[in-house]
Amino acid sequence: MTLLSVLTALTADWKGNAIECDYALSVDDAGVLPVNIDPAAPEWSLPMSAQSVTIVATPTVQTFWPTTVTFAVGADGRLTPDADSAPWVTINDVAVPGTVATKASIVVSRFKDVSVDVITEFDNVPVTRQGKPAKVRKDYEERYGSWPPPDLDLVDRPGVNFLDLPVPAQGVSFSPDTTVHVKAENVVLQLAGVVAPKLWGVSWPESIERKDGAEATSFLVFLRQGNAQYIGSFFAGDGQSAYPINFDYVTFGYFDDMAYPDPDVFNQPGSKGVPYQAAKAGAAVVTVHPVNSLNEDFGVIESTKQLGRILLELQQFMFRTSGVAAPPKTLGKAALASFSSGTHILARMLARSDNLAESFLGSDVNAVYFLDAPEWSVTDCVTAALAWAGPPESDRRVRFYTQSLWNPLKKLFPAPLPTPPFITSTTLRTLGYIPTPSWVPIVKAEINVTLPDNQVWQYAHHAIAATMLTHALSQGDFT
Amino acid sequence: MPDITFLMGQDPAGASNQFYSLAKQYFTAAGGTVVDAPSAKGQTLEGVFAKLTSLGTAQTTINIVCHATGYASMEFGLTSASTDAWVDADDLQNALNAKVPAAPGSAIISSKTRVVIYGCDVGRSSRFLTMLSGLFGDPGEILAPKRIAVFMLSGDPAKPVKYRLAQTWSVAQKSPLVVAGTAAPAGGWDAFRKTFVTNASFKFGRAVAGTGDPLGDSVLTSMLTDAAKTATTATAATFFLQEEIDIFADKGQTAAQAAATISPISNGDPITSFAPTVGAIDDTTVLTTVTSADTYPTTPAKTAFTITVAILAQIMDHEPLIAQGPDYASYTSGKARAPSPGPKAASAGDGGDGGGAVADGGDPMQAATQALLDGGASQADIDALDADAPTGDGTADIDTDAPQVALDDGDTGSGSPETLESA
Repeated sequence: MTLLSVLTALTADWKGNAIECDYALSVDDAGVLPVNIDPAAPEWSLPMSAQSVTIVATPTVQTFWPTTVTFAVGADGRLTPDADSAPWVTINDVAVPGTVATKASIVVSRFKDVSVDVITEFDNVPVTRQGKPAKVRKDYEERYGSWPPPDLDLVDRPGVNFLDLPVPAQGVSFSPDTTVHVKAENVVLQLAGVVAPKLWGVSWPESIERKDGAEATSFLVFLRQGNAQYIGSFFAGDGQSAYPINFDYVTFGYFDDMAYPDPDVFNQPGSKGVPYQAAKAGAAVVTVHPVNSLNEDFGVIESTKQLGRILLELQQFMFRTSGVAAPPKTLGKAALASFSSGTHILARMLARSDNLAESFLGSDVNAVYFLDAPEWSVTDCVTAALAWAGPPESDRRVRFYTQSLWNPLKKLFPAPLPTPPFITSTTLRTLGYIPTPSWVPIVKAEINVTLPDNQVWQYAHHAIAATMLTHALSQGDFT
Repeated sequence: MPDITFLMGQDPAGASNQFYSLAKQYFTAAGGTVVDAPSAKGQTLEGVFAKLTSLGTAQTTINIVCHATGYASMEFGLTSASTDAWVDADDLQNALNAKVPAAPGSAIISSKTRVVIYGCDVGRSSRFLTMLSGLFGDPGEILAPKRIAVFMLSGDPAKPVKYRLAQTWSVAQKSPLVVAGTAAPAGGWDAFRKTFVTNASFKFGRAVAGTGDPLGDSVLTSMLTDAAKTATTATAATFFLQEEIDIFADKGQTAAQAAATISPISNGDPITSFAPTVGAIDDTTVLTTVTSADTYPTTPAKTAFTITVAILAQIMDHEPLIAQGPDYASYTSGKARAPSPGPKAASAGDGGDGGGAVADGGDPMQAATQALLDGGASQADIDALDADAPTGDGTADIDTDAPQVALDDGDTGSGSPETLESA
């Protein structure tokens, strides 16, 4: 019989740096046991009758979430974490007959899984826009065939016309590919304590195994358009909750970048289907979707040091939630993709001197993608991207896709360029130019719809992101 | 036997908080003897004992009216020779060991005597009450409020002053609540309230999960917002106040070194149960632990450091129940149960006073270590338990705000040409 079983707990981040916590310990799902001595380094005397013990370690700082770990108590008084807890706690103990002393070293994370909250929010559809009656639910039902989705799975879209690969020297074409399946764990995580991005969509393909000894993960970070343009129209008001979880953030800000419409992307290219494009391209990459806020946009990750640290934390979280206690401690190759006004945010990131001096942007980021950079942004994008890329031996890849051949883009390849539309590409550079007018016959051919003149630019703007990212992801940037 | 009440201080001239003046009215109206502080320097514990000794009468109830804090301290001197205006549990323990000041004796303070403190929050520290009880010669009971204590005008001519406790929420900050000579925080009250509510919502939100209330976060924020919306430093239904913990350097130590090496101190004993409802989430159910990270210099040359804790208070408009319960903590010194004062704790900043949470067990790890050694475990194995303790600071280099960015002149925030609607 165990006469004396004493438990103490300590908490750290995944790197072993101390995180101060408040602790609550309960025994056999009963009341909370008093903590003794020091709340920062607690000690508990466990009852002899204890069968199970649960500790909740709640950080006293805003930048980490609580961790809950549960143990079974053996006949000898020794503690064994259950399967869900095992990746988050290490047990050290000393035992002699009748007495055991145990130290629980708990790991806390900056991320928590809020997928259930996001799925619930899908059904919290606004009935007004800017105070006026709106048919938002009907729009989403029409776009995706039904609404709300029951989960975050990305269903097969056999009717989608993907960009045909490889692309020819001149011209582009599209066709269905029923071999494309997004077999992935899709989750939405919430990052603690930052102004933005608080929400992070993640699509982790099954083919990228999370197991002991796994290689470091390669990531594609997709920077959607900036949100400043939506102040007064989306993301706030009409009865919606504050950032980060309301209908607009979980749909327009997240789901629409993950999903493809039903039946075809050409029906609504506002849905970008990024994980589908990665699957079509055969890219072994986890796609990551920071959800920018209305007022702070991409917030802390304009510092690439912060972005790198967050991706490491994300990798740790995703491995541990799949049962791996020792995830990789470095990152694989990373690419940063950006769309529309998001291209200028990426340009700023590439141009900051403090970013250029740190290791994530300097070593881990292997490629940058610009999806239809607007005219006001494109000069900064080209300048910053080429400066970051440096000489060919740096092996840093820069890929632009556009509907307008702005002059700065002509620095990417020597004249003469092919007759548009074209995607011309080398290992290190890509320029895809599908002129605005050329989308009219493409859409007519794919879905038999004639685009109104006043909608062609906007359609092409989104369609470039919804189709051309496939090409970028097929260029071997993650191998 | 009527009560005897000691006022341990006097209100400074022009003070907005007429704590002692109102207390005097309150206790005078209740009958009994009220003993004023002898001077602006205040009453000492030695003076209290001398007065009681001079009366030579067995006391039933001794009221002590005194400013105090949740960090286990009260504003009085131990003796006339004391230089510290405040006493903490260490000071009481030292006094107890030195037997100075000496208690009046069992003829005056006995097992039938109860000592009642009227001073903010000090009932949250079981160790403080234990030591204070010992200094008084182990009266039958010593009682102290778990919350801020307030004397305020009642509007009732028959009983013009009432005694109330206040529910509070504390947040450490690196600036004074109100800079001396001004009437409002830097930035104004509205901005301060907004920041305070944001920080307090996060801090106290940690306890929401324990209530099981799915809307708890919103309820908590609404509760804090309502409490803060008209609060200033003027004592009213809701108000702000601050507690300052000045950092004193040891000999040979700079003020900055002292500030960097203080031990964490909490405004109460460890919390051992969740708040049952969101309405119960406050300083009595969520501790505020301040550390060296909360210190800041109060002089440009960094010759002095302090910690400021801003507190939002909301009067609880009921007569406090002066007995062990939600309003007051009681310490009863049954001889068999009274913990030995022992030597003074080695570490400073023991405001957490965790020893009180387990009344009889002492340090369980220490007991286990001895049992392990007795049972044949090696010292090396036991030492290994302490190995690999987390070091460093996991929050270092985490930015929570966006870096400063310079927007491009042409940045419309939109991908669209100006003639088109945005995406």
